[in-house]
Amino acid sequence: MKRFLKYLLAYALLCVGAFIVLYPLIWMIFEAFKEEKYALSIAILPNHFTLESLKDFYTFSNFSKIVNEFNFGKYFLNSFIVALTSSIMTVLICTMGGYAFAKKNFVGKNFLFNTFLATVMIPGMMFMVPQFAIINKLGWINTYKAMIIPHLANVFGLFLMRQYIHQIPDALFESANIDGASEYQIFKKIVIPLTMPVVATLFLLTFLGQWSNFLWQLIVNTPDSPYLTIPVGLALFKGQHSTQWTLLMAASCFSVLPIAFLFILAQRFFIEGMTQGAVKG
Amino acid sequence: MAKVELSKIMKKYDGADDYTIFETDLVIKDKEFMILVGPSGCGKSTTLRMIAGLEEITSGEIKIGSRVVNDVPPKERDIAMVFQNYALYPHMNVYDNMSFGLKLRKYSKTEIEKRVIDAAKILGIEDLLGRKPKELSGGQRQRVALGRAIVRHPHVFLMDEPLSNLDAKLRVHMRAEIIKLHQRLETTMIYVTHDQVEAMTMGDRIAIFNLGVIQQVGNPQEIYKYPANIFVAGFIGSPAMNFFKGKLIKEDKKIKFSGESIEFILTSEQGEKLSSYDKPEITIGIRPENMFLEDFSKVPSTSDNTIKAVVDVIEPMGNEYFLCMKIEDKSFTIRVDGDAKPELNELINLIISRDTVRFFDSETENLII
Repeated sequence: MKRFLKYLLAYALLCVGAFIVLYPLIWMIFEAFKEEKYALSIAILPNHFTLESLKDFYTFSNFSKIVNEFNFGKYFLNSFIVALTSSIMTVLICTMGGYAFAKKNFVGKNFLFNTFLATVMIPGMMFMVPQFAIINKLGWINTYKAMIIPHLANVFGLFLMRQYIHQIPDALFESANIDGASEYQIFKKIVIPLTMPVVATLFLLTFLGQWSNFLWQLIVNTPDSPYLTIPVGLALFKGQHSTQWTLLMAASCFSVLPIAFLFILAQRFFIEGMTQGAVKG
Repeated sequence: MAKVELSKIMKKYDGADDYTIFETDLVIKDKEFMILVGPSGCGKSTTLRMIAGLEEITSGEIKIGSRVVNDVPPKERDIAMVFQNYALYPHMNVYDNMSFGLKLRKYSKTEIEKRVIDAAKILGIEDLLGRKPKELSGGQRQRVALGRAIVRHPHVFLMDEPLSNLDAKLRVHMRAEIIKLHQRLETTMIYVTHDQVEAMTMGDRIAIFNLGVIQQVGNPQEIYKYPANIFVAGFIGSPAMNFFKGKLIKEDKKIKFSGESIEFILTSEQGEKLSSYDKPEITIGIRPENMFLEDFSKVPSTSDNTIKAVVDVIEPMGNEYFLCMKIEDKSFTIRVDGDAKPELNELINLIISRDTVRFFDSETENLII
């Protein structure tokens, strides 16, 4: 009985916690379907519950409006291209770099790695002006390149991959070497599959970061740029005097879809220990 | 031909003061099962890794067959290696693990399948081909690791302490499996271990390492009976050989060993060979099984070969006893028959099998006779 009560209490607390976490998301979804006049009202159902009042309270028009009137599809595509390209390239570069720093010996390895690591301590904002100056000089304003390339040097990703690859036994790489694998084959057939859990994590974090990156993408695009992304596009719903909340929430609903999809897809990698069974244990 | 020859091999790691391997010469004959044995840090694994090409050599020459392989990468040395921790690819099933090397070498699918199935049959792992390493026991993983080496049909097998992660029972079983495998494959095998029982039971010959230098190379019996020096004598054999320091005293026509609490007359043959030894100190080594209780002695008891000692500790092993004996402050171990009835603190006569006593130069620690 005591054990049952303990469980009951634990689950009650978890439910409260889950509700607190999920409430903004739930609110966003309900708000996205509301008519403009009911925006920001606490109610999630009309006062007098009839089919007519329900039709008056909720609408699908917010979604069609953001697609048709606000060119949201284009923002979505731009965000997707920027986030996907950045994530793939970041993962590739960090995995290669991480492998080299973890398993290869070269002159100045530790010094170089520590120098990279030290740059994490400098606030990102400090880089913004010089990076913008470089992008401007290169003539990359209003291009995908401007949004993607400056973020590929991801020291956190490099550190993450290096630490993960470091704990893979050397014997696996030596064994592959004796088996006849070239460096490229070792990377493709051993390193990548064995680092999948952390590759998925880094991919997801980079995708999330780029998908929601607002400031950098705002400053490297002019308002008439054809490469505006969702965060910049969402800002358009915020006027100087008023905000179109229902449209903003409908657009936000769209914008969380890829992230939610990616989380569902990648979550098994977070819990699966890929190196289990590699060596004695 | 897959003779492996090491000539004047030296290895010094960057930043190290001393050489890890110093001027090592070793010839491993074709189809021979050579064991490299020694304590931790003696350089045996480094030597194996240099043969594999996983470590660069500082100087010297390594030949596999007739080819000098100093600068040949591991994959072109025609070797296969079994690692201590198995080193199976965790994301691949057993079949893929075993066929990985063959696929990389672009063998045909049918050839790969044939080789993998053949190896799996030899090792009794046909039912495990679809499993991932994490679904296998330690013994099964070890078989897969062996299988991965076998399918390659290499000229030389290298094994780096492959049984040290297994429990005692499985280790004995796998030991026999590897011996059978060698007999069946008739390939040169170089096997590293720190376990002297593995060394004694498995190898055609043993190379004993200490401090980066080969101390002795020979077959197990030869090494056990005629250890080259005190280190080898103490390392091989369990319980270890007993050492006594002392001096040789000429008495009439006989020579007597007089040392730490022990005295006996040398045999005439020993006396003859040691007559010219003129250093003030000599060390003798007696194996625990070469000192007998009176009732179980294989040699007749005389005043020349009998000493008295007190039973200090009794270790029953079932079929035999290990007795820690004491004469004054000197302790040593003897191995006696399981039917003996030793009593603690009992003063007993011990008969020394004098022919088996080994004499070492106390200064150089090398075997004299």
